[in-house]
Amino acid sequence: MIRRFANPTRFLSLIRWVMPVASVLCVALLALGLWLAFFGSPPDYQQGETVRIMYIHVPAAWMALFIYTSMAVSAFVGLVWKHVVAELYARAAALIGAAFTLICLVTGALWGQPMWGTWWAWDVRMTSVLVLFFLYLGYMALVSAFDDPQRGINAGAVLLLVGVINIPIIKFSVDWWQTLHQPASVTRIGMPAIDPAMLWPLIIMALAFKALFIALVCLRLKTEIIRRRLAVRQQQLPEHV
Amino acid sequence: MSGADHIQYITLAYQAATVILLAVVIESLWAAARMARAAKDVADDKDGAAK
Repeated sequence: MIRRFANPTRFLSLIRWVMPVASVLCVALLALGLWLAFFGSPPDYQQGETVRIMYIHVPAAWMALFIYTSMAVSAFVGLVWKHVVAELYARAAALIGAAFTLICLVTGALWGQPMWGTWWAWDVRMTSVLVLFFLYLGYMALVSAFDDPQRGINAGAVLLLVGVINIPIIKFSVDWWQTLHQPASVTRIGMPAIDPAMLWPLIIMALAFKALFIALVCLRLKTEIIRRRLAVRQQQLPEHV
Repeated sequence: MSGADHIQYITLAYQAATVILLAVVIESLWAAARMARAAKDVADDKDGAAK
């Protein structure tokens, strides 16, 4: 399976149908998710209407963790097997991951001010998510800092693999330390501690964000594959002249 | 805190998310269009050289 899609041409033929399907799914799920978030779910008995911020904050946080983990896996595959598409995947996904992390931080602050009375606290969960945001920015800066794109990709892969230690810290920080941020209520062992009326919009918004990510990463991967081909052609050009 | 204040925070959160996601979508489309144009230019040059 891994080797099958190491061929960029074969991967581009897969992208050709995945991208439109993911785009249509994203629009449909976003429409349904937003309708449920605003009109199909009740206000929380403690948070009131502000609970509706959770329907973008929580899925954005899940996406931020998922994208970084997938980038680290692809970096490992790229380093070990010299898999061309895996090497380009991390580059294509980084900006989307950074965007979801920023959404998580901004919407978290906008929820924190009315609920906790503060925009920000140097709490382990929030600080580790901020570190994740800087890891995304650092990765993007590092891969672009080299004249030889392959050296940039390799250096970025090492950063991704070192930075993956932050992922369990983010996930379990609310269990390991006393934090202002509340513990997990959906992704916990046993039943989710959340009413189905609020769980469904959350799940549908998470699926919508996932579909958006798939559509965007396909588009960006296609761009990266073309960029790589043009760079290779330019390197070969002086030999023919 | 009044209901209007709650709505203000919700509006700001959804607006911020929309702006950030739209920026990524536009950047991705722009980069794809730029790269497709570059690929077309290279293909045209190759055709020109072949003629």
